[in-house]
Amino acid sequence: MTLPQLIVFGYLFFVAIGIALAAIGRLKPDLISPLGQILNFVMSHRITRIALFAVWWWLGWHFLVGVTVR
Amino acid sequence: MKERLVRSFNPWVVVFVGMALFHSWRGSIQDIVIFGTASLLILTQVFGLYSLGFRKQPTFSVTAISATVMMSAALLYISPRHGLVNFLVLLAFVPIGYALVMYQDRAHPVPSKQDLRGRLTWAIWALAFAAVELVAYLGSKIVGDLSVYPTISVLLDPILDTPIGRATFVALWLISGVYLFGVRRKP
Repeated sequence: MTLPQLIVFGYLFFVAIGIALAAIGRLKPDLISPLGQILNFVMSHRITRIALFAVWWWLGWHFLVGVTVR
Repeated sequence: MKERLVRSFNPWVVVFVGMALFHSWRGSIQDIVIFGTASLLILTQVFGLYSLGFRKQPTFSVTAISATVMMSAALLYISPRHGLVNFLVLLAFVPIGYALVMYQDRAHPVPSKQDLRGRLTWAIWALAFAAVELVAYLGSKIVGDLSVYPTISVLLDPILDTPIGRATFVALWLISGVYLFGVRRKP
C-alpha cells in the first residue's frame, strides 16, 4: 500500500468508525448514548453551540468559497 | 483581574485562538478572520454578555428547510466554485446560524454515564480524525507535494469543481447543520 493510499484509507477508516459509533448509540444505548441525545446535552451550552457553528460554517466556507492554500 | 485571565482560558477559546494562529502560519487570511472573530464572540460569552441573542431557539418547518436546501443546491449547481454566488450563499447562513445558536441556555440536562462516555468517545474520534488531516498537511508541507500526502481538501477538489459535486456537498452540509443544531430535534 502506497503512502497516499494509506492516508485515504485513514480518512475512510474514521468515516466508518463514525458511522459505527452512531449505530452503536442507537442499537446499544446502555453502552453509549445515541448521538442526538449527546448533542442535546452538549448543545445546552451556548459557548459550545457557537464553537460548533463556527467549525461547521468554516467547513462550508473552506470547501466552497476559500481557495485551498497549497 | 486574575480571575478574568483564568476565565479567558476557556477550552474553546484556546482551541479557536490556536486555530487562528495555525492559519496565520499557513498564510490563510480568510481563516484567520473566521477563527479570530469566533474567538472574540466566544470571549464575549465567557465574560458573561448573555444579553446578546434570543430567548429561545427559532423553529423552522420541514418545508422551509427543504426549500432552503434545494435552493442552495440549485444556486451552487449553476454558479462557479469560489465565485460571488458561493460567497453570498455561505454568508446568508451566518444570520440564520446566529439565530440558531444565540438563544438563552435551557436548564442543563444532568448527563448519564452513557452521555459522558459518548461525549468522550466522539471527542476522541474528532481529534483523531483531525490528527490524520494534520499529519497529511504537515507531510505535504515537508515534502512539498500534496499528491504524496493528500489532505481532504485536495481529495475533494475534483468533486467540488463539478456542478453536481457542489450541489450534493452543500445539501449534505446543510442537512448535517440541521441535525447538529437541533433544528428539528425534540428537547
